[in-house]
Amino acid sequence: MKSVITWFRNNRVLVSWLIPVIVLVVAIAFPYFIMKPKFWVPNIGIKTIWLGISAMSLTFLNRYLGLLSLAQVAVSAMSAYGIASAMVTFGLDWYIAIPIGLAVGTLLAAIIAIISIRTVAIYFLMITLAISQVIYSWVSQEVFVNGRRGLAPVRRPEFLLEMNNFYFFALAIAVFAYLACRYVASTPFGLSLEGIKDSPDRMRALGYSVSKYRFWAITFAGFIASLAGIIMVFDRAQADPDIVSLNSTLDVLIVAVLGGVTSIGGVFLGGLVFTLLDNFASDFTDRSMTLTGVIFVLILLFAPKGLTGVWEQLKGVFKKPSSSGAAKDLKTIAKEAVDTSSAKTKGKNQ
Amino acid sequence: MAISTTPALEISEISRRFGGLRAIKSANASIAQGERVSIIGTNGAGKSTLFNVIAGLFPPHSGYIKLFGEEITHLPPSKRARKGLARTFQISKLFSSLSVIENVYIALKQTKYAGASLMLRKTKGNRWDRARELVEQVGLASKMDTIVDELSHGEQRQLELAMAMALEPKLLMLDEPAAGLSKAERESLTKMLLELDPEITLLLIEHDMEIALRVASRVIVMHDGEQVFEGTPSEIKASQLVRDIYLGGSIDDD
Repeated sequence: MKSVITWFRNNRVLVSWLIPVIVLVVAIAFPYFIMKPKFWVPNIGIKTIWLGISAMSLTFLNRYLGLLSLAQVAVSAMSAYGIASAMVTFGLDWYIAIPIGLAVGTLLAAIIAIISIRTVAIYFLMITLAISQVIYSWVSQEVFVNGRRGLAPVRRPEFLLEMNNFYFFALAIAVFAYLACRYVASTPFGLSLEGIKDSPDRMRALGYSVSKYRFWAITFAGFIASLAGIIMVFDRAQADPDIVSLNSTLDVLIVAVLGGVTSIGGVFLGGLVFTLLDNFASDFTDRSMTLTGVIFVLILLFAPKGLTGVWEQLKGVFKKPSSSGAAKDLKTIAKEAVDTSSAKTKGKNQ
Repeated sequence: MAISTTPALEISEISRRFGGLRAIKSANASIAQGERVSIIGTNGAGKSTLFNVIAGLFPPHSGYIKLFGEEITHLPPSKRARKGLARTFQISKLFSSLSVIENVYIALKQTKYAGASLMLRKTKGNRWDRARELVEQVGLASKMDTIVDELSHGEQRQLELAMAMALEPKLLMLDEPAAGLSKAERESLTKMLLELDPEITLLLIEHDMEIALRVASRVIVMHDGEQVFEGTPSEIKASQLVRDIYLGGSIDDD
């Protein structure tokens, strides 16, 4: 048992990949072991994935830049709109429409970055919320995107008509988004972002141009959010103002918080819990929203770091104070005692 | 070693107001390359304001600042840093969720865009070796991988210094480095400052007279936003005016 624990300690990098790999294996097996795949694969599986990716872009910004953005859903939605107008309005093929959608979403994120780059904390949150609301009213009234009715039908390409194929397509995008986020986080650029999160003033004093780093991070997160738009638009088969509404924005925020807004992979757990509640809360009670709300509040109360933080919390409960840590403390205490006594004698000599 | 005659830092007619308060009335100084200068004064004398104006945190309302002969009055802090000006912060602004070595790694002088690199981060290599060396120099070798949040106040001050040194500065500005340190920690700080590379120009703002006088070759005394006295440490010690300021005696304006 002890050797197992030491192995885990010595192979932190390997361990950090263990859970993602297990989750991926379960996710691949998922369509084959559930009872009613026709219901579960689209309503739980695929929805969890696109909510999760959209929430992942929010979580990335929060974890590595310390900014909470409410415009990520708007970015996903604009990517969806880009694909929808390319296919419905211009009759283009899916393989041209998808890059257009990604470009539209990422470009929007870059514009949002330019507008919001000098704000932090609550002001950043308010600006991004305002931008997403502006986009909502714009698409509701704009003739080009067919106003309130939206653009339909967005047909899935031939090879995605089979529901399982579409599910695996979505899963592949999720894996790509996850790897992209983890890769960026483990570059010097990622470390610089964490520096900016902790102390932007210090970064400036060290010669970093904080605004440029923020710009590229927000644009990158926008690209991730745009990936969610691909799945979103093919899943709904249309792009309509509802996907930019305040409700959708809050859904993704809830998913991110449930997963723990500091865990890149946790968003999928958050997405799963959210879609389960969304689909099944009404089976237990007529007041399904109340039940969802109560569960949300309970999670916030008892797992403030989200569902992925529960593991850390449990470790904290069962962890014995390590002996080496205690020894260190004694050492520092002794050193400090010596310091103060030497200070006293010096004072006397003077 | 040829020392050029261009001063490392030249400030002229600098003034700065905060609303109706004139924090600095008119500051003039010229610091030669490699010189060690302390600015001392009581709380509210304007020394921190002057420090922040030089570092670029806010612009002066009049006057100019030159760094090695080049005007930097309106440059942002990041550009000043790239021209060789490093500073420490009085209230610690370290990267609290990162480890000691990571803090210094980020602070290392930038080869162009190194901090924006999208290559996978290595745990070995020249830059890490250099960071490790700096951590050892300030006496934090045993805390290499400790998260900064868990360091004591004194250790955080040591890390501040390592990070400023990591920039390979030509002008090093220290903002009350001894604040809150124990006697022993002050002693090792003084020793570290005395052993600094003689080519580095040092500008020190210090409330603690002892360190300010031991480290510097020239001391500027500020009071009420003005420079009231300037001299060598021994002249400062002998000055009745300085004694009055520090003991709270009244001074005449002339």
